[in-house]
Amino acid sequence: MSSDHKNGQHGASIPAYMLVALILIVVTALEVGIFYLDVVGELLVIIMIGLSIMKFGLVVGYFMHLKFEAPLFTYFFLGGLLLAISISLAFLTLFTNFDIGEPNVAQIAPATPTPYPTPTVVMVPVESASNIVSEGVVDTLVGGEGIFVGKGCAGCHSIDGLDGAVGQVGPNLTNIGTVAGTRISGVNAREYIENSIMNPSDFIVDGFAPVMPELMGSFKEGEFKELVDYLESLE
Amino acid sequence: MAITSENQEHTSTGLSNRKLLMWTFLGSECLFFGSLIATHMVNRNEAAFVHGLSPACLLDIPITSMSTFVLLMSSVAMVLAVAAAYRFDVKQQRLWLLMTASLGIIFLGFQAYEFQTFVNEGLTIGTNLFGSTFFTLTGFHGAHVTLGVVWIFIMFILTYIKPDATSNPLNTDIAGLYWHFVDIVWIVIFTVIYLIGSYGLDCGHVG
Repeated sequence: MSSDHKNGQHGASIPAYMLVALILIVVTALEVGIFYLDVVGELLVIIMIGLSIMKFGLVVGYFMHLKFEAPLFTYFFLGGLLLAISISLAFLTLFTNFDIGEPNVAQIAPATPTPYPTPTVVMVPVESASNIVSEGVVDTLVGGEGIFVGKGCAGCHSIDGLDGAVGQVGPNLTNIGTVAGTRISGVNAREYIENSIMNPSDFIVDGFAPVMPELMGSFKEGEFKELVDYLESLE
Repeated sequence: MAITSENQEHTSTGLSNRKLLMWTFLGSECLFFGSLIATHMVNRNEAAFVHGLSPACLLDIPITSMSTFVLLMSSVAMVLAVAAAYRFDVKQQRLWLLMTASLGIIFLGFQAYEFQTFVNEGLTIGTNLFGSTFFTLTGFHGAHVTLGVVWIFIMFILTYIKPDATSNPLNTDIAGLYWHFVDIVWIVIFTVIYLIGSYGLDCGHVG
């Protein structure tokens, strides 16, 4: 009814609501399309955030009629919203390198390396193990070594000559390329290494506890193979 | 008719205090959900995030796209309910209130199915950081949807048994504000947790 506009309760007409609804549907479809087509690469994060801000604005502005209301409502809502965004950005700045688009391979090391505490207990929580690693390691490691350190393996496994790989929780892997082939009859070195990462509890070396975490879900494309190649080369 | 003017109570700001309170509450809800979403994003880089089960193996984008669409449609239904309330068209108001609540229940059904699937796959709130932050965030969102469904359904019932209480369009309007807010929180969750969250991660089952 046209008299709706008179008292300011209504900002938009029914056709306008329908148009907004249509835009929201199209944008959502676009998001899912972009996700599956995977054509934008690293830009995905920025595009997705942009589109979602657009949808957010449309719902708040038109469906919640904030665009047509007294500014005071906007101030109260925006105050909370901006505070929330600032706090989120502060958290992300403090605790991550803003690489939210994909998981990290090697954490950037802080300026002052700290000496490694030698683990004396068997049960080390995974997160603290990886923190120990990330504290002292230079971020120049690449390839299999980079993955080994980046995934936190070095927090529990030692490799002589690899900076930071001093963990005592799991077996020493300095000669794993040779040792792996001798452990289980009928299982060659490569299979042994692959299986030990895929199913950490299958082959437990005497004297060690079955505490290795499952990592398979965290590998990016090719990383698993690269890591196995690296470990196999340690002869 | 003096119906519209008697809805406007006198306040020092000249605005409805109840509406202002709702917007203030929604501002504080931004902080609530903002902190949960930030926690999820911050922990995404931790090795323990996927300890056990990876989001890439679990998150079902097609199904969630459907539930996102359902929630979006419920927002459209709510808009129509509020518009009908301001026209004092009780029949339309009832229809769209019922539609909103029903679509909300369908959304909750999707969520229950998703939670059930995740638990069957072995992901609980204690499995890894992903499980903790995911169930906390979407669980609180689901609780908000549930509250909204109850609220809107009560309004639907009240249009029959206590028409005086629902004849003021402001009541429907305020319920609508809450409902739309729940929708925009899901817009953010869908983008951040589902689309961005599973991008670049391999599901573990490689050779």
